[in-house]
Amino acid sequence: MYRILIITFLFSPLYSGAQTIITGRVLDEKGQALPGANIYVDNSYDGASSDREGAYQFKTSLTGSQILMVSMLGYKTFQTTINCTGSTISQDIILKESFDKLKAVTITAGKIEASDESRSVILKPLDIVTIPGAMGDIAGALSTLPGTATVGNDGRLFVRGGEARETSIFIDGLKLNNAYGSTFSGIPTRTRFSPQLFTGTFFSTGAYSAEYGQALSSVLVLNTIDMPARTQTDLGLMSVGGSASHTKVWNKNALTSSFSYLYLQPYQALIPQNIQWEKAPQGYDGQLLYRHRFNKHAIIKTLYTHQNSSLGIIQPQPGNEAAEKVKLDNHYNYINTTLEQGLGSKWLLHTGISFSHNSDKVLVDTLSIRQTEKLAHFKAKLSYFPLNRLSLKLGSEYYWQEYSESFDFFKQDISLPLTANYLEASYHFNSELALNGGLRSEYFSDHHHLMPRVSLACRISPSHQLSLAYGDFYQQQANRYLVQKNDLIPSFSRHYLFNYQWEKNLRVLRLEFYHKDYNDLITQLPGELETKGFGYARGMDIFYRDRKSFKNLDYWVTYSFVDSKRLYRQFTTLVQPGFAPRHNISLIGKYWVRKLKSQLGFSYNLNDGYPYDNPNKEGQQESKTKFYGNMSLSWSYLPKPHLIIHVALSNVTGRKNIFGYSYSQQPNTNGFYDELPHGQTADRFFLIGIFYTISSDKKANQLNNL
Amino acid sequence: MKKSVLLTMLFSLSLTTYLHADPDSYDKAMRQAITELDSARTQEEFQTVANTFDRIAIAEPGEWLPLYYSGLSYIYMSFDKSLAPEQRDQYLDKALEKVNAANKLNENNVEITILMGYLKMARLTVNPAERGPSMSPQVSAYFQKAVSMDPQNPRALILLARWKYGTARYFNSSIEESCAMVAKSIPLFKSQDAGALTPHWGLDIALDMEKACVQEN
Repeated sequence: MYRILIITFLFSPLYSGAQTIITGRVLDEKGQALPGANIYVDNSYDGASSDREGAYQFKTSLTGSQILMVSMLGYKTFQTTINCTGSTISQDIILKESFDKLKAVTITAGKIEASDESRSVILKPLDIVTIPGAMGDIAGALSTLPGTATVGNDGRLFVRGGEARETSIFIDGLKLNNAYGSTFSGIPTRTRFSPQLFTGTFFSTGAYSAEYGQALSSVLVLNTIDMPARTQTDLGLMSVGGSASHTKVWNKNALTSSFSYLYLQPYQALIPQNIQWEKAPQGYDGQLLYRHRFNKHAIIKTLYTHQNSSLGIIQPQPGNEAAEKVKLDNHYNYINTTLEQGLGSKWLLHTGISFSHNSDKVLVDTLSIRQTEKLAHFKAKLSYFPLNRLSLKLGSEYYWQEYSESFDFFKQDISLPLTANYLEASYHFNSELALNGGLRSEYFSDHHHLMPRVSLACRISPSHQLSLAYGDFYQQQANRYLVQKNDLIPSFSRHYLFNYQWEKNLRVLRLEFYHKDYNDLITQLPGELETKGFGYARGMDIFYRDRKSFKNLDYWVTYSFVDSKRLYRQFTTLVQPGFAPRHNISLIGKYWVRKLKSQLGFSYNLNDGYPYDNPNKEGQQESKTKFYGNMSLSWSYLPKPHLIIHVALSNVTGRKNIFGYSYSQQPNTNGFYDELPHGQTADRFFLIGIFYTISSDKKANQLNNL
Repeated sequence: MKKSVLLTMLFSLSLTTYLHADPDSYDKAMRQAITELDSARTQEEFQTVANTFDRIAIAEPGEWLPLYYSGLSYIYMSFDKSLAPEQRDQYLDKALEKVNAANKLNENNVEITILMGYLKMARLTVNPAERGPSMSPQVSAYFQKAVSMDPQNPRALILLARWKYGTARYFNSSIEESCAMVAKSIPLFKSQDAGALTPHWGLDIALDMEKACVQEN
């Protein structure tokens, strides 16, 4: 019996003589030491961390066959079987880098993403709304980014030598028709939605994903907030109107209702105006936003808005004493509902439906014109993630659009159904190389169109990367042409992009070269409406942003060069369009002054002038306006955390920018066509606002909204 | 003899299993690791102790405390301002993984709620100018929730007090409320069972805050 006990004691793991020493080094694939790796015998406390030289050593009292595990942040866990016999085990370990989607290269060609969630982004949503001069307008803010042009008397987004309608806007993946408020030509418009609704903005200046279509140049994708953080009430009083909004958050539901009112009459009475207003812009906007979270993997979101606005001006005519009185009334309704649903861990289903109804009533002296546009958009998207490095998207869409216009008793209308399907795959070969390929098919007016899209990104060092992208795009002709001739074929464009990006410690440099070919553009010679137009746009964008070099200062500089020529509309040769200035520069700076509890903003926008067609001179689009310049300043003062006083002044110097000229139909007695410049509605715009937030959390404020 | 060898083998085998389930060795290992965490100063020391907690967590899949302390160690690592923001975020991702795992084992625990708020705060600290506006309400929501779950928890009190104090200082409003919470937390910190495995950190924050409050008045 004693013998048994002695033997037991000898063989028992408690016996110190049976302790096994495990030692070695942990290295990466290049042979570099990896400090801080966790080396241990599985399911025991026995283990150690590697030191600066990657070396480790520990003892285990376990015996026999055991599993040795090695884990480290950013590397694949290594395991091997060891036999613990009491003699020292020497085990060197080589760890392989693990694939982490968050750290892997992302395709940057043509993409400018603003998001709170994604890290490798150029701008955050907050940056967009605090750009001075943009006055809280999404399109205004994005016009300071590379690849865009400022067309000061228009207000819409113009991307890389394309018309405004070549950029499509989407909310939660669904098309937003009539995204801008209705206005007259020459009076700048604004985006209908406030930036405070959105948590992420994805802006593509070319070669965008197969998920989107019906945009020759660019898409802007806005994503609404899933669940607001807390219950609160926001009140705002501005020199041009007021707003009130209340958000109530329950456990699984949230409801926001807001109302805003805009009336420019008192403001315009105080500040000198360059144009004669028949009726100052006036409008209201009511909005409801509802969210319901079923569980962690399913959420439904609904947004409804109703807007009403009107304005009137007295429009002088070139070479004519008598001016025209024009008045506009707009009614707008938009509803959007989306459902996001996780189906197991590898599948995700998005479904959505949106409907918009826009009605414009224009009165020119006594002639009444009415335009109505309706759009319904249905979409279903299924995403599948079979592997960490592979994702597949399959989607189907249906658009139904109806447009009608009437002049007094003459009425014409058209309805335009469109079906689209797409498939997209993205694959990471490793952390440094990613490929994305997609195919979109669209079917409308008895024609099938196939659009391949491909992009590739390669990280050449931790802070440098290159991307390439290619894509084909189709877009239907504008409604006002289709209503006259419904068999017009769509316009076509093809994009080639090359992008270089350098990013280090809150500094980003981005260079992008592009070439875009256009075909089947509308041509409008007297009596014939055809699609014989063509053209190109090519150029380069430079973007530099620095948030590091100077404390509390964040600034970015953009230079965009566009060489754009097209034969289209009434032109019979290749001309530079009026909305595509060649050289575009913008400089944005934001400085936080702690002592003053203030954020100071500065922006400067510059371009070399807008080409225009002067019938008094030989050629087409042969003339160019003087350069455009606009310096804007803003000041946000926070005396208390929940109170903000915001002052903004655009075009501080009062520079008289000209965007083009219009000419009389007939030459005057001297044989010349009389001209009339298209200028700014006022030399400067001044905004003062007080924004107050009531919530249980006294720190909450509306800085995000300014 | 054959029988005895078999017996021996059985005995040693049972001893091995017994060792794993031994509450004393868990207690001892945890106690030692917590002492190491309390004295850790360098990134290397924090990584070593995080690794130790991770090993215990793997061996004891039912215990939330090793995960809690591993998460806390990674949060401490993220505070190093000399690191690149991406690296700091990476530590916080790791911390989040641990805290979420701890939360799964022990839902509605006040200490885990505090740690979640602490993690959010660390996330905000990586880039205050950008993350402040969206994250600051979330941080204070966590601390508020923790105080309402247990008004006697000194960590919940001191972290909420420090958060409120920062805001009050920034906007030159009254710090009275925050300083009252600091004063309340100190005896609660001192009455904690220093020998327990449950969280007891935070007294140093309270003492620093106490000094600040005294200087202010």
